[in-house]
This record gives sequence, structure tokens and C-alpha cells, in this order.
Amino acid sequence: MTGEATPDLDHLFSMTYEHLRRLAANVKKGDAGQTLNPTALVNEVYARLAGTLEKSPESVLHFKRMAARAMRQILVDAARHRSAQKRGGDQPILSFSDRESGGWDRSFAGADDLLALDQALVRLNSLDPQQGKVVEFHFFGGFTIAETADMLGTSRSTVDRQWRAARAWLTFQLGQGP
Amino acid sequence: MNEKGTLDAAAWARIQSLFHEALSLPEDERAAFLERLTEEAPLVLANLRGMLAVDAGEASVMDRGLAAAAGSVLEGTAPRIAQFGPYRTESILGRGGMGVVYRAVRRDPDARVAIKVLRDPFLSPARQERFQREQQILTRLNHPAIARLYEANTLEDGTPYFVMELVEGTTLVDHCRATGADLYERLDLFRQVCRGVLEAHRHAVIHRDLKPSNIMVTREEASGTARIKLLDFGIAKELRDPTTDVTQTEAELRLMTPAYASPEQIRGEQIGVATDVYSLGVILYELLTGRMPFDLSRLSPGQAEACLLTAEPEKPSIRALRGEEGGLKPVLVPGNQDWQDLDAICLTAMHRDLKRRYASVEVLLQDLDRFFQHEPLMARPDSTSYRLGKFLKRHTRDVVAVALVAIVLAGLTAFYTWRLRLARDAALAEAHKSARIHRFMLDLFEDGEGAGPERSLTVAELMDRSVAKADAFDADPEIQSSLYQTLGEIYRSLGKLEQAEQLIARTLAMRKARLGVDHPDTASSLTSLGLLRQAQDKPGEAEDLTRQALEVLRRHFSKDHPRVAEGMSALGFVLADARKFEEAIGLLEGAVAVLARKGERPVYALALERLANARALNGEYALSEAINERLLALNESLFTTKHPNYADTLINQAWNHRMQGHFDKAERLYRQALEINLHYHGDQHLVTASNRALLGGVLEHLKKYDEATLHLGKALAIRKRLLGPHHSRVAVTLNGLANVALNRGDYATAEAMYKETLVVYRGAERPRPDWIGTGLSNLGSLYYRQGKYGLAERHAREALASYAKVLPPDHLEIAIVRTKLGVFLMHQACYVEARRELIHAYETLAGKPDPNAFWLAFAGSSLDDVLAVLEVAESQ
Repeated sequence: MTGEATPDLDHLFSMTYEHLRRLAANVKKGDAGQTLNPTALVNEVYARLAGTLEKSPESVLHFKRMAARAMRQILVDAARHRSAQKRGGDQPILSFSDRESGGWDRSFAGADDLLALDQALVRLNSLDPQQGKVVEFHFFGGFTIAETADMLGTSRSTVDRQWRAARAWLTFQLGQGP
Repeated sequence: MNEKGTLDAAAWARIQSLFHEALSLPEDERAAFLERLTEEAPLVLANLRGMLAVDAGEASVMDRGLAAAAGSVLEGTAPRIAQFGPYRTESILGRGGMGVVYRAVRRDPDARVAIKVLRDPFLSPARQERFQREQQILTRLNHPAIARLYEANTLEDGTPYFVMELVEGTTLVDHCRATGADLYERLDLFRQVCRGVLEAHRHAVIHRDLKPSNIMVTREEASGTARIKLLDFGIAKELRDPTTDVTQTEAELRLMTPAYASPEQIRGEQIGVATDVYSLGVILYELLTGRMPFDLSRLSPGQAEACLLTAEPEKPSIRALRGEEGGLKPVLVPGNQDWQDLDAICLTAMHRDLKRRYASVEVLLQDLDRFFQHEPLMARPDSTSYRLGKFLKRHTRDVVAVALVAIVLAGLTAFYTWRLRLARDAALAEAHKSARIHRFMLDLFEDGEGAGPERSLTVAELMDRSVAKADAFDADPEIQSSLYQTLGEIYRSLGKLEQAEQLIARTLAMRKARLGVDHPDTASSLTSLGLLRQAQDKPGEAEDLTRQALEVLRRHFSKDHPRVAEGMSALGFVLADARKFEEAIGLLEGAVAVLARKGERPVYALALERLANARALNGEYALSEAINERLLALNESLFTTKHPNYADTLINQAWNHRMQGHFDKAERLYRQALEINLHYHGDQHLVTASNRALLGGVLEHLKKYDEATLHLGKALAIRKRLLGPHHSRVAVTLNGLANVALNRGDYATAEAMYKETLVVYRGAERPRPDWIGTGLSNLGSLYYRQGKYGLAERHAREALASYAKVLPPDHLEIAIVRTKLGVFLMHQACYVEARRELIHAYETLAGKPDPNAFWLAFAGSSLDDVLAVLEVAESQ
């Protein structure tokens, strides 16, 4: 997060983290999206922090953009951390022979994917900043295409096309390796 | 081919345009379309082909969505840390919102523990603070129903963790389901939960996340009894400052579990003890019926919240008719008449309206007790709780007042209301059991003792409010006098002696008028006033009052009754401070003997502490040391080794070491205590200042002058700021700094400081001859160092005269000053006189059951010198 540092940012991060973790826990239990979807979570975070924010349509949009950025930042930070651990980072890691060790290895793969995606997204952003935001809002923020269009002040069909191309290109880039 | 470096915005635009064009074609025409693009740059083509190839697939991280991405890096990926200090991890017990909990083992001595480590600490400082707060809260809580904290530390990379009691068992609901627990077993477990929560409230901690998965049931190995342990104080909150609006920022860092959250929590309003009462109500509902009060499973979070805020729960008895859910059977068959009471208790506990809900866990517990004893409930319509609720209505916006008023006043009110239904005499005897309320109040405020301005301001506000509330009780003088006395004692422990005086004196007057002088309650007020006089430095009055109280108590109870022992303990304490050691120690020994068998542990601990202190004051350091060892063991079980009470005993014990010349042992204990006190009280607290001053004194003996000056200097600054420049403690600290200056050879500083010390001592409201004696004796040492032997001798003699006013002739301090005097005389060639002083000193020192090694050696060697000189003189 750059530029818009406010005292609430730490709380935004902290709450966003909690939400992501809850989402993640639901994935693990196999009932993702039952009662929690990312948009609902962002709305909830907003409701909780709303008292400290200005209440205007502009501030709601600003908040959503910040939330998407926070989600990306948290996931990428976490992925970086996981990846560092895999490479024999700074902590003595014990490999338990319990039933969860499979998940451990898979998570490293997920972490590397996320890091690669983040790097590819940086390049996409330099090619077309608005398209970079589409990916950030839709994928990392979990906003729908319609919400993303509102947040960018453009049409749904435009965002739809931008997303499809971006998704294909980023996926292709991930397949290319670093 | 490297596409990455060369792709630019124009090429990217071209790629996208071709991409969308290709997608608009039927799939079987796309290959031909690509064939025709012979004019395009290879880079554009390569990207286009790649994108089209993956467009149809569903393979990448992009398609699995945010939740899956979060799942892959945030869940199931806890760092598996092999070693925390001496602990080796064995498995993962759980993953909570804040951290991961490991099961770990330590060899030698064998110990199994749970270790909680903050997950992803790099993500946000707010989470680190919250984790730290949980640890601090656990440090304060010590109760069989709350998992104990053993130690806290950080990994090399700064990740914080703490080591806790390992709780192995099943969650509350699972336990009841598996064992088929009946009504009484379930309610017994529930009451244990309530008592654990109450303990937290007594330390002004609100749990805020009570739910069955945070409540474990373990089995005691020996008896097989089921025991409750509360876990996860991760979002617990401390009630401290009534002025801070906590609702927005820190309060909602983490979401509560909606099903157990109170309406005020959901609305983001201020919360207090009643919030936990609500969650307890929901848990009770689940235990009674086997079902949740509301079915939220098909609702969105918004709908769930609306439901919790508006829907009325069905009566548990009705809900139980719907049959079991998840295998936990309803606790009673339909139609059982106990349902009526259980409905009332449960729905009162989880009442949406704060005014109608039980005002505290204590009141809820009392109603459960009444249920067991088949007495009318407060929760039943038109009951006291409703009236009480009205009484408390004005205070519901004020969290701290709610905590205070709800727990204490409500507890007392409920107690006395209930009591009226019983025979008056029996009730009066019972009333003394309400001493626990009393004690709770004192415990609650002990933290504030000598607090810095910020917190004492808060406490002062609270106290003023509480007094105002007590004033409103004038219809029932009995409650009112209990409250005044309690509040007065709190003021005393806060050092606000004038306010204490007003309230305690008022209580005494009320009780004398209503009950007469010869009544145990009046005696309790007399003791209270006596201890206040003690704090006011009026030992004569303190002795009269506590003695009078003891006489009354002895008339009403047998001589081995704990209340008599308490009276002995108070008088013994007062007498010891007045240097009447023989009687003091006799009384305290007697009190300890009774309380060891019959007393409440804290009361027993207090008597042991007083006895140890009396022995130490009397110079019997080895005996005091032995008592303190007992007290340390007791305090470790009563509190923890991180608790300030433990630190207090360490400090007393260090003094015994110090006075026996074991400075290195003393240093170690003072440092151990300082660590606890810094952690608990912070750096600007009088307790910490006192700890530093003592450590400084020992460091001076160990010739670590720089460090000694540092600690004493900090202590002096805090004491001057908080106590004013003329306080005796300021003088004591000055004296310590002067000693260091003296030993460093900085005589000018030392002399100025010693003299300033004496001015403070002599200017005290009631000068203490023994302190003045020490000041004079030290000044004597200074002049001796400077070779001013005559001046040194004069000061030693003055010191001796001053000591003689209050100390017995064979007291250690007198022996020390006589040793000094002997040495000063020797240097003036007054050998015969010197010999007399030194022999007397040496014999006194050697005759002690636990001789002071340093002074004994010093007196001995000086005496040898004098004797050698005299021998030469006589042989000539």
C-alpha cells in the first residue's frame, strides 16, 4: 500500500486478513461460498470500519479499491513467506508425518503460483494500468465484473473483455515459468 | 524466445484485438485465422497462441478464485516449528484466528505444554499487539477453569509465542453428547464455565468470544471428575478506561462468532460483562436443548445479524420439543416442571435488553444455585433483577461502571435481598461469606496501587462514581456500610487516605450506632480503621484499634476461628511495624497456625507474609527466609511466577539474603522480581521504583556502581514525581544514592545527599528514630572515609541514641553502629573504649541465630586490630 496511509490501514489489513483466513478455512472444509463470498466480506469489513471513514459514494469506492489492494498485498506477502520457508528460510521446520503433510507441499505450489501471478500482474500493469486494476479488483478483491466496472467507471462489456484477455495472458505467462 | 522484455503497450493492444477477434470465430476456424497472420511479429503471435490455448482450459490459479488462493497460502500451512526454547513440538492442536497452537514436550523435567504462536506476524502490527494483549491478560488470570500461562517469548525472527497449560479433552458440547450427561452434570459444567468467566471479570477482562469450541472438558486423573478449561482469550478485552470509545477500532479487529454474539456486540456498541452473560445464555440454551436458539445456517451474514437483533428465541422447553439435533439430547423430558425455571434462567441470561439481562455472571450463578436449592429465582417475572435492572439503567452506557456496579452492587443487592427471606441471625453469619465480594473488590483494584497518573485518574473516577452509588443505598444501611467499608479499603490501598478515612469512619459510626460496639461487624470496621491509621503512620492508634477489634472477635468466636486469626494477623502486623516484635511474632505465629488449616489461601498467605516480615524486621533473617520459602511455594500455586505478588515475596526474600550478606543471591532475586514488575506494572510505577531502589542497593554492595546509580536514579525520579520531594521513600532513595557516591569517593555529593535525607526524615509528620539513626550512622561512615574521625564518632553516638529510643539493645542495627563507633574510636587511638564497643558488637552479632556475615567479619577483624594494639601497649 502506498500513498494513502491512514491510521485505519493497519486495522483494514488486520480485518482483511481475518476475513481471508475465514474464507480459506471454509475452502478447507469444502464449503466455500456457502455463506461467505469475498464481496460480502468486503462489505462487512466496510461496515465495521465505516464509523471511521467518511460516508460518501466516493469513499465507498475508495474503500473497495483499498480493500482489493489489501487482499492482494496480504496474499502475496503470505505467499512470499511460505515460499521462503520452503527454501529453508529462517525457521527450523519440522516435517510431521501426520496426515496434513500433503497439504503442506501443495501450499508451496500455491504460494509460488501466487508470486508468479503477482509478478506477471506487475508487467500487465505497465502495459495497461486499467487492465491491471481489473485483475486486482476482480481476482484479488473478489468483486464481480459489474462491481469492478463501477469501481473503474467503465462499462461491463469493457471489463469483461479486459478480464478475459488478461486472464488468458496471465495464465499463459504462469505456464511459461519464471 | 523471450517475450517478456520486448512486449510494449502497442503490441499488447494488437494481441488483445486479435485475441478477441479469434474468440469471435467458431473454434474450428481459429487455426485458419492464425495461419493467415503472417504479417504479425513473432512475439505477438507467440502470446496470442498461448492465450488462445489456455483460454478454454480451467487450470490456473486464476480460475480457482480468491478463496482457493487464500486457502493455499493462509490455511493448512501453519509453520511447523520444531523447537521453542526447551520445548519440542509434537503436533498441531488447532488453528485459531490469531495463531497456531502446538502440543509440545520438554524433557527434564518432563512437561507437556501447549504453545501458541502468532500466525503470520508480518502482516500487521495490530495483530501482534492483540496477541501480546492476550498474553498479558492470561498473566493476570489464575483460576482452575482458565488455562494457565507459563511463559512468553519470541522466536529468533521475532515471532511471539507463549507456553500454556496443555488442555487435553473434548469440547463442552461433544463431552455432553459423548457421556450422555444429565441435567445436573451439564449444569455443573456450566457453572464451572461461569466461575471461570467470573474470574476474568474480576480482573476486568471480558472474554467476548465464549462458545462451546472455546470450552474444553478434561478429566482429573485421580478422581475422574470433569473439569472445565476456558481457552482463547484472543479477542478478550480489558475494561479500563471508561472514556475511550472502543467500539470502532480495536473492538472489531476480529469477528466474533455471530451465533454466540450479543446484540450490543453485533451493533458495535460498547460492551461489558453482560456481553459474556449473553454468550453464556446461548451456551446454556444449547446445553439444555441440544439446539441453537436461532437457526442461522441458511442465512447470509446480514440476515443472520438481523435475525439475532430482532427475533425472539423460543423457550428452551419448546425448542426441546423439536427433537435433538447433532446428537445432544434435550436435558429434560417435555412437561417436566423444572423447565419453567430453566427457561427463565436461560432467557434472562440471553435477554436482548441489557436492562432485563442478568447484570453479572455472579447473579446468573446465584440463580443457578437457587434452582438447585429450589428457591425462587430472581429471573422470574417481577423479580429483583428487574428492579435491579431499573436501578442500573442509568449506567448501561458506561462500561466500567457496569463492570463495577453490576458485579459488586448487584452481587451485594442480590445477596441481601435473598437474605431477607431467611432468619436474621443465620443470615448475619452468612453475610461474612460475602467477604469474597469484598476481597474481589480489593483484588480488582490492587492493580491500581500507586499507579501512575493516567490510571489512577481512571480509578479515581470509578471510585467517586462507586461512592455516589453507595450513597444511594441509604434505605439499607447494612448494604451501605459494607460498601463504604469496601470502598474505603480500596481508597486505602490506592493511598488515598483522606477518602479512605471518611468512608471507614462513616462505616464504623453506622455500625456502632446500629449494632453496638460489641459486634463482629463493628470489629471488622475497627480493624479497617486500625490498618488505615497504620498507613497514616499513627502506630499507637493503629494498635489500640486492632487490639480492640481482636478482643471483640475473641468474645464472639472460639480461639481457633479464622476470623479471630485474621484479627491476630492484623494486630501482629501493626505491632511488628511498631517494633513490638515479641508480641507481634507470637500473634502472627498463632494466626498462621490456624489459617494454615482453616483459612482461605489468600488470607493465610497474607499472615505468612506478615510473619516473614516481622521476623525480618526483628533481624531474624534466616527464620524469615524459611517462612518466605513456604510463601513462595504458596504464591506460585495461588498466582503464577509471573504475578506481582510473587515478585513481592521475591523482594522480601532478597532482603533476607541481603541482610545475611548474600548479595549475589539477593541481586538474582531482585532482578527476577524486576522483570515481573516491569512486565506487569511498567516502568513508571512505584512498585517498579521500589524494586529498582532495592536492586541498586545490592549492586552498590557488589561494587557495580554505574548500574546501581542507574537504578537508584530512576527510582528517585519516579518517587519524587509521584510522592513529592518530602516523602520518606524519597529520603531512603537519596540515602541509597549517597551510599554509592560515598563508595565511589564522591564525598561532596554523598554528604549533601545524606544531609538532605536527614532533613526529610526529621521533617516527617511523625519522625522515625530508627530511620534518623541510619541517616546519622551513614553520615558517620562518610566522615570516617574522609578521615574526620571525631565528626564520625559524634554522628555514630547520635545514631546510637536515636536507635536506642525504639530498638532493643541487642538489635542488629545497634550492633552495626557500635561496630562503626568502635572503628572510629580506634582511629582516634581510644583503644580501650573501642575495645568495649567492638566486643559488645561482636558478641551481639555472633549471638544472633543467623549472624550477618559481613558485619561479624568486620567487627571481628577490627577487634583483632584493637586487641593487637592493646597487647603491644600492655607488654611495653
